[in-house]
Amino acid sequence: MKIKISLIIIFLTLLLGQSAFAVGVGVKPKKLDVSSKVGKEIKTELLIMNVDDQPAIYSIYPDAIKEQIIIEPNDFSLDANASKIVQLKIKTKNPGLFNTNISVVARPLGATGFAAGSGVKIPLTINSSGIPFLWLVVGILLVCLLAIFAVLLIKRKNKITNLNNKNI
Amino acid sequence: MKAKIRHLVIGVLMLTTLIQPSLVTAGIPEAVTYLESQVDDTWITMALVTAGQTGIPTGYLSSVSGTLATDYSKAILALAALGQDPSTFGNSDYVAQLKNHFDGTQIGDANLQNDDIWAILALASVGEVNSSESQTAKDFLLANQNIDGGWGYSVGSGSDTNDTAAAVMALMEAGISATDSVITNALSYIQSAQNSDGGIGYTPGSDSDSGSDSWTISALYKAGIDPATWNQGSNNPITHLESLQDEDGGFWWVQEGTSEWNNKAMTAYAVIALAGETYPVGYYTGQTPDPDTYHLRIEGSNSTICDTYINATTALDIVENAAEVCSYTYNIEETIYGLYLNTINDNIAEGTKGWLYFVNNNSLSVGATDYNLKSGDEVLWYFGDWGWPPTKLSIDETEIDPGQNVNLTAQYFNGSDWLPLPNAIIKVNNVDHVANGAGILALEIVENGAYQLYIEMPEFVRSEKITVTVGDTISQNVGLQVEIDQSSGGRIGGEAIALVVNPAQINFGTLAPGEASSQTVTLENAGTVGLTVGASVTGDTVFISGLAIDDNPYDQYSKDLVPSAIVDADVSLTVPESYLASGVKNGELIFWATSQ
Repeated sequence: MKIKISLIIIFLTLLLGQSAFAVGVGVKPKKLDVSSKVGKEIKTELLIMNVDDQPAIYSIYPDAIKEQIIIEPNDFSLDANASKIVQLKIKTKNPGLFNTNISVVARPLGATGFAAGSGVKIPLTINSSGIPFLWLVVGILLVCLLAIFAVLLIKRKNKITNLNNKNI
Repeated sequence: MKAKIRHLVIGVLMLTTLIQPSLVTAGIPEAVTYLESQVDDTWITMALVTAGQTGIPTGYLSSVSGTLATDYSKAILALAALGQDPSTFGNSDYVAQLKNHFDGTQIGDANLQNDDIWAILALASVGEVNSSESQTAKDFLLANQNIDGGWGYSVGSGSDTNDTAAAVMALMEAGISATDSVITNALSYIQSAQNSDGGIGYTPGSDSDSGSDSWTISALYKAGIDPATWNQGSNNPITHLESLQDEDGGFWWVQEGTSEWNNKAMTAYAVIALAGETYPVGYYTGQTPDPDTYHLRIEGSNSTICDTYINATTALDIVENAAEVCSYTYNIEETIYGLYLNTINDNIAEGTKGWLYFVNNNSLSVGATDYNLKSGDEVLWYFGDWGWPPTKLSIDETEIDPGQNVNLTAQYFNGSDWLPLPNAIIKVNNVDHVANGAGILALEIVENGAYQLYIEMPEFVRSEKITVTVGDTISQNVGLQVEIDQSSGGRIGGEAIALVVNPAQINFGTLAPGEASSQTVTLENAGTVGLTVGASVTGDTVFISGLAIDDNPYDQYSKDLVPSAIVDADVSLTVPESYLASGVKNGELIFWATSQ
């Protein structure tokens, strides 16, 4: 009898193990190439799809240059086979060619213990042109300094002229 | 000495004053601020309504075109919460669209229960809880209640607290009493998932999370139970949910720092729960009277151009104001007699034909720009000759069975009374039928479907359309075919990358140092491009140091998958001999896919 019960328990354990949650994520497009100008915000979009028949939670984040990429929304849940468009706002600080990945991870709502997630990485290439932000600041500072110097020079010249007039 | 004590007291008071702000927890106002910074969605809209916000954005609700029943259910619930009519607010009748997902036994995907739950709640929010669709869905849910009292997301799946709580609310809306064993058993199941921290787990034994707390709290309120009475010591679902709120107002899914997957996606549910609200958040009870909104109908030479409610002040500017809503072009010219509407679309005034108007079916002696609209006024513009009378079609039933007769009555307005319109031509889905000499027509419709009926005949103004539904549903079978090109076009063009991992939870059982265990995980390329799949592991060191995939360290795992390919990955864990800790350890394995 005990053996029978043990067999039933083993069978049920195996059965429940087989019916555990799956998790899926789909993203479109498969890569992103954008061109931008330094300091100017550009927007692009990703379509996030739950390609499984269970609801799941989705997290989206850039692997690098995080301070220059904002993703909205970056955390949300999706019903089975539902989808959502997320917006990427990119604002570069320097010119150049930047490469990173946008990571999209799906996790089932009920996962506990040791979970297996499904993730995709979307390559993002940003071609940024324009003047580097730092150079821009330095340039403005230089112009300001030159302007102050010029004003001081003119004042000094006037003062000398006035003194010369007095001398006359 | 006294001075020292005084300084000490002042110091303590100042310190207390400084510390106090950090002890004050965030509340609903902070959560509202958090939600307002997020991208609009239906849950956020409902949460903002419960928080008493006004001026809530609704633009995203004007165009719903989802393929799932829940797409329409959520839109209906949000609009009902806002007091808007889901049948007329958007680009289509959302209630009718939801009902189109009814297959005679349930709503939406036959494998899912979640979509039936939300369909019942949505229909309840617009006063249709007693419809055949809603009541049949209720029976479907009752027939699929699990032995443990709960429901899962799909038919035959194990129960979870989130779907069970939502089912409780749906069934109570559909007429099941809180004292019925269906509800009490469901609540017992949910309570079995309560943890010692007072919170509720997704399933019994899993960690408490804000989503499960929120759904449970709302379900308890629905059942007339104070969630604070579900005590675990001094903890209950409310205190646990409140403990998850961050300083920015958002609610973490689980306790901060316990999961790298943590997020604040449940904030909207939390606001609704902590506001003491249940679902539906609001009910649409009919046309909201707006003193500045008037009914406008424009009948062109061949078709109805517009039939809507719109803000206006005069019988002329109502035409200008409705142009965008009804997508027509118009031209008003200035003449010596005043402003004159001479064109709408391709109907241009010429000869004896022009644009003429009625207010409440009466022709007025003043120009349209001089008539100031009054509460309840209905404006009708038509293209034709002066003197054409307005018509009206009445019907005894709008929902009939196939083969059943409907009785139609055609009338026209002579300036003071509605009179029978003899031999009226009545269009039934563009097919002509002729009424008798008394303007009456007994019409038999045998095919299932939705039919538009109206009067259209020479020298009379076309009548307003009425819809007759024949059969259980208004759906009809139409063969469809399309070739999809994924390579370009669409709002987001290009190919899709997709990966499914099954199962998403691995239990290696109980292991001693030196022992190993393995499980098979299936990877499926569900996208349209080839994938290269790698893996990463986080969590306890036992996983980071001892996990292997296909007998190699996980960070060396790499597998190429062509579209639709399904492969097995053997995930094994070996506990190092030197591992000293004991107890349950948590971690996460992510399979990362990149396109080839």
